[in-house]
Amino acid sequence: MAPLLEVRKVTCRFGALEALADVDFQLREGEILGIIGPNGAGKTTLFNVITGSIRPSAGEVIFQGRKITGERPYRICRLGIARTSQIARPFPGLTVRENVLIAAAYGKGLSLDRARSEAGEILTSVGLGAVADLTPTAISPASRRRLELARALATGPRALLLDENMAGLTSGEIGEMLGLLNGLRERGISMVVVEHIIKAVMGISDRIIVLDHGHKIAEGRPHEVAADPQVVVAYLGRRYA
Amino acid sequence: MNLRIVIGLTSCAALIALPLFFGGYAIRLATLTIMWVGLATCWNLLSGYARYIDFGSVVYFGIGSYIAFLVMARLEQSFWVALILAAVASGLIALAIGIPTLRLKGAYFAIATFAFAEALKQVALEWDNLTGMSLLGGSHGATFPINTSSAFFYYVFLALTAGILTITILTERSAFGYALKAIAQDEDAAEGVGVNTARAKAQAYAISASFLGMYGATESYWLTYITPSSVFDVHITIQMVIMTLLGGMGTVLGPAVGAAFLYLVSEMLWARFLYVYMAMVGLIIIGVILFMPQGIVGSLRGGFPKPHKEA
Ligand SMILES: Nc1ncnc2c1ncn2[C@@H]1O[C@H](COP(=O)(O)OP(=O)(O)OP(=O)(O)O)[C@@H](O)[C@H]1O
Ligand SMILES: [Mg+2]
Repeated sequence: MAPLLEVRKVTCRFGALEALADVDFQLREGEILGIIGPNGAGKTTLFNVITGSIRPSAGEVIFQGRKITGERPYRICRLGIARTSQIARPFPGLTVRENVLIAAAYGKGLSLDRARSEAGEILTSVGLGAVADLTPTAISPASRRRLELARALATGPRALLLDENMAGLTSGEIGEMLGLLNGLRERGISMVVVEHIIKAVMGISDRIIVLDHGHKIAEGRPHEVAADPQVVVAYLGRRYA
Repeated sequence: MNLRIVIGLTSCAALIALPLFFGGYAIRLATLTIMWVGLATCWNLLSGYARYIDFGSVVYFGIGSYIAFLVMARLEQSFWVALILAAVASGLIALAIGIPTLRLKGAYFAIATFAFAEALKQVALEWDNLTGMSLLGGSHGATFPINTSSAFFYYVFLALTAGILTITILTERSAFGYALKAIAQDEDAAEGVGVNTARAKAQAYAISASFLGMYGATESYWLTYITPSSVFDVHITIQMVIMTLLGGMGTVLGPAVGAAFLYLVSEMLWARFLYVYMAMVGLIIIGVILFMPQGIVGSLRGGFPKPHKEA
């Protein structure tokens, strides 16, 4: 079966810096793909290229068999790719519910009334039902992470890109988030998960790719990747040495 | 809610009946107040909701004025034809100008719109000299056919202002309104959840430009004599900005309250303190902005800190 999302030989330069160098990968239907790599490896840049907020210097991104490089971000969102940001970026002047509603109205193309009820359901499903009418500044950082997820989900994605969505959470909160993500997979949403918390990403991912200085240095099942000597040196080394 | 409807209907009835009971200065005052309420409301649609600060809004007022002059004085068509063409021309020019300039952020957008308005003023001033035509009248100005019915202009302005206020209320209640607010807060995040930000901004800009064009057409016909310096006057833009800031950006009633407040206060002070009234107006503006940073309406409604509940 053709992959849902395919990144082909993507290179992304910022001046002299090569943030991504010839990166290839595929995300299959129903899969959770983990991406790990040290700070500055290019993980966020890769998401920016996929969602259209940065144009790559070379290479292309294919989604459901169609080239999406060069499309505007709102188009890519409506086609079915949603993301959460590494730094949560809710609209601070809108309520939690309105934050999600706007994603349902525009990303999914629902009428305002249907978007409102959709937002209510999604907020309940991620455990934010009780704070739906507060502003994002009035909820806890952990709740803001869930809001980021809820807003991405409201756009009705086929592929969901999560950028360190578990950073700063307690181990209990991480467990809950992993539970949510497993539930989403069962509903047929494929995911790319960027995460520094190795245990979490190893546990949930079907496959892992490792980025280092913009290069993909390893790819495989979690246990294979963890045993790869190159990976141990580049990334795990510092912690597992 | 019921009370609001009652108050709304009563004030509508009072506004419609006003020319039956008043004339002269009172009707003139009411007409100008309604005009400024409308102009500030136009400015608020893009600049208040999406926070794209337009510093050249007067350009569409000026375009509407000269379109009306061409249609009525040169082509000898009715005011209604002029009004429609002023709206259409202003809206189309706004799309042509807005699509490239609305990519600019912050001060750059303000400067670009300001420059466009100044440039068009120069074009209107020099057109006849440059082309050898006698079309716009240059700095000598342009004269309209005369209509002496003050009630006529009162009702046209009332209808225009009712129109742009209705559009603002509908915007506030629609996905479009949320899109504009989201653009104000984080444009990239708005685009990331599926908002076609370029389109939403261009729509708001063009709607407000169409109305500004109609206001220009109507006021010019009312005054019967215009020059490029009078209808492309940057002070008209500044008034719209200050009125909206005073009342509260991004609210339905803010610009209306700010406009009515500033216009009526200026009128009162001007009549009594001819020489120092500008300084007094300045002090009042500074006072409101210092003590009500959200504007009059914004401070009355949301000025009290919301309870912060950790969840
Ligand atoms: N818009 C940009 N302009 C210039 N340089 C950039 C830009 N975005 C990213 N970079 C650089 O590209 C490199 C990769 O950054 P990126 O944010 O993708 O890393 P990351 O893998 O997400 O790191 P982290 O784990 O810290 O989030 C870094 O050196 C960064 O400074
Ligand atoms: Mg990152």
